[in-house]
Amino acid sequence: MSKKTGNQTSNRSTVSDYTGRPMSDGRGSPLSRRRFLRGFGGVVLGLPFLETFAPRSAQAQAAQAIKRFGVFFACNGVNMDRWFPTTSFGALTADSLAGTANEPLDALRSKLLYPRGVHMSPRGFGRDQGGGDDHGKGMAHKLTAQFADSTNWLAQGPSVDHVIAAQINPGTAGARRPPLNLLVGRPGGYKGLDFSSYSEAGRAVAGINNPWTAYSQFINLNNASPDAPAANDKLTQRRQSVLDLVKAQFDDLKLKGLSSDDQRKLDAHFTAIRNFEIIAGASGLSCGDSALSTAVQPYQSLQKRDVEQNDRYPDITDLNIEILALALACDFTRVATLQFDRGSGGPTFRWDGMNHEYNHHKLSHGKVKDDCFGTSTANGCDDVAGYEDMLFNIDRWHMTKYANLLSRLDSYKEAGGKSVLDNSVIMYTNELSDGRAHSFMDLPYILAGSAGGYFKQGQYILLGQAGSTKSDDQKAPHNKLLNTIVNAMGIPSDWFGAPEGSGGKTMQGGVYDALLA
Amino acid sequence: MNDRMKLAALLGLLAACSGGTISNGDSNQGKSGTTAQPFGTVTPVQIERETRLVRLSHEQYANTLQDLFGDSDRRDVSFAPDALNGFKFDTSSDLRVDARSGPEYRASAEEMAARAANDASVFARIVTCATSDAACPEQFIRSFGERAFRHPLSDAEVGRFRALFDRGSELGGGGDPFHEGVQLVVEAMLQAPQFLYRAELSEGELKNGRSSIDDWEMASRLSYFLYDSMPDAQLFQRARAGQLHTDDQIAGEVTRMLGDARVSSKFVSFHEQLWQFGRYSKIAPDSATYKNLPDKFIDRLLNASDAFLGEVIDNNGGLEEFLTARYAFADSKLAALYGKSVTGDTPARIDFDKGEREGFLMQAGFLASNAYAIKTDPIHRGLFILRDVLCRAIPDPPPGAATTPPPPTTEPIVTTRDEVSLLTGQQYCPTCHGQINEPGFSFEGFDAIGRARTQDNGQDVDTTGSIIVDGDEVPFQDAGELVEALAQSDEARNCYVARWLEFANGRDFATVDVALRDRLAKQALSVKELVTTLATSPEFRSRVEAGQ
Repeated sequence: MSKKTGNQTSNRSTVSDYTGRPMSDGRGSPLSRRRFLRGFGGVVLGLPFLETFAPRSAQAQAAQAIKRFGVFFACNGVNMDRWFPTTSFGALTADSLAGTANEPLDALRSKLLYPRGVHMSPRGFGRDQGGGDDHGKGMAHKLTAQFADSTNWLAQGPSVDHVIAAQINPGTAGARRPPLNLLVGRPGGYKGLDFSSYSEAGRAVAGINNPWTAYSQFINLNNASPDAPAANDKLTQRRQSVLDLVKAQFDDLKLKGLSSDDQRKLDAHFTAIRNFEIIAGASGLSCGDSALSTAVQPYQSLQKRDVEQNDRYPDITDLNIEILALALACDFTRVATLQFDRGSGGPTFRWDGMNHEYNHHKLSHGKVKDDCFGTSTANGCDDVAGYEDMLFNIDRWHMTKYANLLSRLDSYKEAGGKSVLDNSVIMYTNELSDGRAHSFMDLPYILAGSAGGYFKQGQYILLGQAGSTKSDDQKAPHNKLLNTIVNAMGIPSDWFGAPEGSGGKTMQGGVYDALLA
Repeated sequence: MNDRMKLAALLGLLAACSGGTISNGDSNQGKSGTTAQPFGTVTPVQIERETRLVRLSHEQYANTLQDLFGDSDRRDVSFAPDALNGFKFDTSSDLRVDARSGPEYRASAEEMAARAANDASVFARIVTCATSDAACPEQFIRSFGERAFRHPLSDAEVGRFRALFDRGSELGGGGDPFHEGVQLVVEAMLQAPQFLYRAELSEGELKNGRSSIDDWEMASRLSYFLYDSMPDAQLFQRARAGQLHTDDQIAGEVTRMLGDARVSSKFVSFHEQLWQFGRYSKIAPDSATYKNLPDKFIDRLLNASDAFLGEVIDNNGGLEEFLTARYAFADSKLAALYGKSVTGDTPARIDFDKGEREGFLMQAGFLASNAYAIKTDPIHRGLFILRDVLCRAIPDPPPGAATTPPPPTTEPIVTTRDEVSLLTGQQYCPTCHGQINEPGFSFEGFDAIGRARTQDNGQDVDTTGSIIVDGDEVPFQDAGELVEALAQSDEARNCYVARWLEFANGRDFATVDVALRDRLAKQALSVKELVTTLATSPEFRSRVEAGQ
């Protein structure tokens, strides 16, 4: 991520050696060793509990609050005429969001930052080389700022969530927990269109679209009671003993003549389980929530194609938002993403007052199909009547969900009267801007939360050029916005994305100073 | 590669379409004539070594747990999904255990181990000795371990599992020491790489760049290839007896295994992935244009397509039959689309007259999944023929191509064929579309939901065209003549066999596979014959260690 500074070394304490017992939780966390939440499920009961575990020692108080990064990733663009704040650049006012798709965020506007005029870079429309059609680039570039390969449209580098998690997530250097990557919707299976997150070049990370599986991610860690330290210690001892044996089994394999690829495969595998063993054992992390546990239960036995049915979309959205908020709040992960279906896809919105006939992608083009011929309106190719309103309603629906996520995070209070949201930055981003034109320019972005005082709040700031024109895409590349976020997380970085000089002609290094508090 | 294609490659014409810069001629040829050189087939990749560690897919993992514990209930595992990163099949040999799946495997192992210890019927299936017998712990470790690791345990392994077994009381929940020991051992074995990977660690003889595998490894190769699960008792017995390495020994086992119902579903799954039935999920005809569409249209189409695949496989058919069978499957609602009559919601076989329909390409599933809401999609129907039936390397359209407006025209645009011809007749488009469009147009005798038609928008459909196959230009009057030409071609057979090898090997078709591909594609084989020949080949019982 940095062309000058290289990898940052963490000064967090090392947990253990390769086989040793855990020495500490190793996360430099200001919260107490045993961390848990209760009372979730729609009513905000979590507030006082985190407060309870606020640090008591002076040393811990001096520590920085945990920072988190979340991504709310929508696809197929927005109705550009009714999305952005309507007031002039500067402070957001009571009028700014009124009547726009962002109106549901009004109560939170003091914690929002709207960077305007940002374009994707590497660019679309064939202006920079690289694989993928417009949707393919929109998906592959958006969180990576990397080119996609021309065969499979897979990004040729890691995404910002994985880069950040590798530096700040619970775990030890070189073996931190990956981000929680969630999905709502149905993978299409066509090239890279399903993916926004990448662990490394050419390796996409499929989002989890089953809420049971998503919830299980952190419940899997520890099935002992956080209130019963003795049981916890016993579980830790048991898992360590099992791990010691499993390690011997790994060592048996390493004696064989393995290729370097196979060796890496095994090393990554063992690193993954070694790390988790220690965390679960040492911290007694419990993000369990009985209401949520009950709510996700029906998804345990559902077949994949039932989970992916259109009419489950709103329920899964709500559950995955709760899971994501809980995962960030209880420090299961400090980085999480939620992707809404995929570019060139999307559900048919038939809920919450909408009853569309066509799916999101079709509506984004105004027409019911992809190959309507030029401007001809013959043969059923006229625009869908009222499609702009339908897109507005879809956008507004997304912003309602985004507002729910932010409100939930804002309801968890941490040390110093700050909320989890205050200590986080939760980015709204979209695969495209104007979906009808497949535009990569003037992208809709929101940064919610100041990342612990790093970002300005309650502001609408012009970085580049507003307006989805084809000539003004040189001003504010999104790779610099991603780099700004990396820095906001406390990770010094000069550059993010495809290396300088590799063909992303409008890419820039540095941070957007105009966004900083 | 025939002479014409070699010439084209030498002239660099094949690469002319890639990267969005098109230099091949014929730029004004849009509407007729396949005058451009055909694109070559996909170039085999080069590999030096194959992996010795193939992680089980989530499906294989679930199947294996079921067989290992003799559970009658299929226990679905709900793991975070794998990304296949461009590989076409779920049998990828490149799956990893990462920081996300590591804890999932552990949680699953702990859950299954608790079940093994606490469910008396499961316990009785995996512990067959008397628990009071002093030799029983080791006996259990050896017998269960051999099945879990699909290979006998070394003495060192037995020793370390025995040591863990003996700590059952110390580390467990205070139950009977034997049960606690079993739970602990199962918990550890299910997290061992020897269980989670299909590991090939024997050091076989290196010959022609390939290293032979041992009989245990062969048992696993066969069973995961055909059953998608661990070896059954007889395969284990053959491996133990050292009887799984000659042509006859392997052919005998394959023949026996072909009678198992799991093999049929694996074969069906191969063809579903090969021919992308996943695309059925996008079928969304315009309800105003196509009135009285069957409810649950997509499910009905999937069931019908699977039934067709099963019928061809069971009747010892192969590629030729898939492409030219004069029958399909349909339930009562789908049968109406074909102008036939069937009772009930279960797909039943319907037969066609000559000239009516042939093969899966003229069945409603393929036709409707390569169509738009209100009309057909000849481009993708044609592209499927070139890319997926003939393995031709057709590049994607250059950036922005889809939004390029058509040129002004005074000619009337009536049919979909007119429209597509005009749109793709511009600039550089004909380099590719000169080859794609006409095979696609051959299906214009079928509408967007797969019904036969003679007219499009009031004008007679034109299904004529030509395609270059095996180096010869083959004219056709309609889709029937097209699929018959394809069914007889070396190119289609080469392509189909190459895909089978990808499915079996879990990796892209490589230069080291060409010889086996050529042997298998030399004649028209049924699916069962092809798989039997593949599985008994020297290539299938060896691993590439020094490829070129």
